[in-house]
Amino acid sequence: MNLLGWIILLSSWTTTLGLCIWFIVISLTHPEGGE
Amino acid sequence: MTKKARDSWTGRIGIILAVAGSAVGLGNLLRFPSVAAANGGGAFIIPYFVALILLGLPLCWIEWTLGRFGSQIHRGDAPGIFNNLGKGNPFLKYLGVLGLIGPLGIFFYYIYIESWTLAYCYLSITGNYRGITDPAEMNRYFAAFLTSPMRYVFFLVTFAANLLILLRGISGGIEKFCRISMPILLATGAVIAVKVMLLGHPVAEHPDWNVSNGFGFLWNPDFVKLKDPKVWLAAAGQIFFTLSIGMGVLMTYASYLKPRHDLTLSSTSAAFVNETVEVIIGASIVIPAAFCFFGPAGTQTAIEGGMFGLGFRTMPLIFNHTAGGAALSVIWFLLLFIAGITSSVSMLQPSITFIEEHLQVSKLKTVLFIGAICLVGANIAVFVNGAIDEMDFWFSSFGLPVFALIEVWIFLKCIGLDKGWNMLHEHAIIRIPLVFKYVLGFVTPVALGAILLSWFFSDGWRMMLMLDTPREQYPAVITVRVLYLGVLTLFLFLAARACRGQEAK
Repeated sequence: MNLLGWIILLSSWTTTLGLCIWFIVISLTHPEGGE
Repeated sequence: MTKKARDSWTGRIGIILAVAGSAVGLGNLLRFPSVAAANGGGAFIIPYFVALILLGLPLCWIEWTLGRFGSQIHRGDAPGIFNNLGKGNPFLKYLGVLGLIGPLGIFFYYIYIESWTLAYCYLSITGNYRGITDPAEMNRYFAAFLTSPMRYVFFLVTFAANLLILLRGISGGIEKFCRISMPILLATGAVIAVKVMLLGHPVAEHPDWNVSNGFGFLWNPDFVKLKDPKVWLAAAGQIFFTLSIGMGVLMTYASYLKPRHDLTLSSTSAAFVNETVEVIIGASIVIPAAFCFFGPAGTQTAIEGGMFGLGFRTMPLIFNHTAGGAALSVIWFLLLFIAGITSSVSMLQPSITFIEEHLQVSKLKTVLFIGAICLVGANIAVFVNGAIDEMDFWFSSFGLPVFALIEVWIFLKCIGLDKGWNMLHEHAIIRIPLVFKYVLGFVTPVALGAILLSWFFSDGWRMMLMLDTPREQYPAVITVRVLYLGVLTLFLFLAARACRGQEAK
C-alpha cells in the first residue's frame, strides 16, 4: 500500500471510530430523558 | 374499550443499537468493499464522505424529526404522519404508502439471502464444504445449494425467527434482540478483521500477495476516477443503502421515543456505529483476505462476481485454506446472519405499525397478515429466476430515493425549516452545527433531485421500459411488476380506509 493509501485509511478510520466512541461515551454518561 | 399504552424504547442505548442494527447489514460487510474497490479505491472515500455529510446525515435527521412528530400524535407510520402533517391535503397519505411498501418489498428478497447465511452457518458447523479448495468446485457447491430443498427449510426458519421477534414488539422484541446481538456482531466482526490483518502472506510462492498490498488494493487512491459522475452516484447509492434512509424505518423507530428523549445524539451515534462497521470492519475483511489468497487478478474476478460471490464463494474458500478456518467460517456466517436479521426485522416494522395502530388490529393478527404478504413476495424471490434484480430495482433503486425526496418535501413544506430544526433540537444533548440547517433545507433536496434525475436518465428509464431486459427474463420482470402493483394497490386501499376512520373520529 502506498503512502497516500495509508493516509486515507488512517484518517478515515480515526474519524469514524473517534466520532463513534465520542458519541457513545456521551450517550452512556448523560442521564436518560424521562417521560 | 380502554386504549392500550403505546410501546416505547426503554433507553437511549436501546434505540441506538436498534437503529444501528437496522443500518448495519450485508451491505456493510460485502457491498461497501466491492463498490469502493471498483470506484477508485481510497479516492472513493471522498465522494462517500461528501454524500454522508450532504445526504446521509441530513436525511437521517429529517426522518427522526418526522418520527418525533409521529410520537406526539401517537402515529408511527408514514401515511398517518403525512396525513396529520398535510391537513387539508388528502393525497399526502397516499405518498406515505411508498414508505411502507419500499422496506416490505426489500424484505421479500433480503430474507431469502439472509437465510443463506444461516444455512451456511449450519454447513460450516457440520463441515459440509470443508474439503473444497478449488474455486470452480466451490461455485458448483453454491449453485447446488441454491437448488436444494434444504435452502427452503432455512428460509422458513429465518422467516419464522423474524416474525417471532416482531411479535414481541418494540421494547420486548427488537430492542431486546439488538441489545444482545449488536455487541456479538461487533465482537465477531472484530475477530474476523484481526484474523485477516494477521494473515501475512499465506501463499508462499507469492510474497507480494500480502495483507499490506491487500489493503492497498482497496485503499490506494485513483483520483482520475473522481472525474467520472458514476463514481459519485455509486457513493451516494452506498450511503443510501447503508444508512437505511428513504425506507421509513427511522421514522417509525423514532416515533417510539419517549417525549423528552434526545434526537440529535441518538441519531448521529447510530449513524456513526454503522459507519465504523462499514469503513473499518467491512473494509478489513473480504478484499484484503481475497487478495492474500488469489492476488490482484483473482480479487478483481471475485469483485466482478458480485457481493454474494464474495460472501458465499470466496470467503469459504479462504477459510478452507486457513488454520482454524472451521471456527472462522462459523463466526463469519454468524456475523452475516446477525447483520441480516437486525436489518430485516426493521423492514417490516413500518407496515406492522401502520396496520396495528392505524387500523386497530391486534399484534398477532397484524404480524400474521404482513407475514402472509411477505410469504407470497419472498416465494417469488425464491422460485422465480431473475426476480431479485427486478425487486431490487423497484423497491430499492427506485423506491428509496423517491420516498426520501417526498420526506424532504413534506418536512420543508408541512413543518418548515425553522420549526423542523427546533423540533430536532428539543431536549437535544448535542447541537448540530448551524450550517447543517441550510444543508438540510437547500443542498440535500437539490442533491437528491439531481441524483434521481441522473439515475433516471442513465439507467432508470431503460430498465422501466425493459429495453435491456433479455427476453427470457420477461416472466420474472412481469411477475415482480404485478406483485409491486398488487402490494401498492392493497396499501393504498388500506391507507384510504384507515384515514377515513381517523377523520370520522
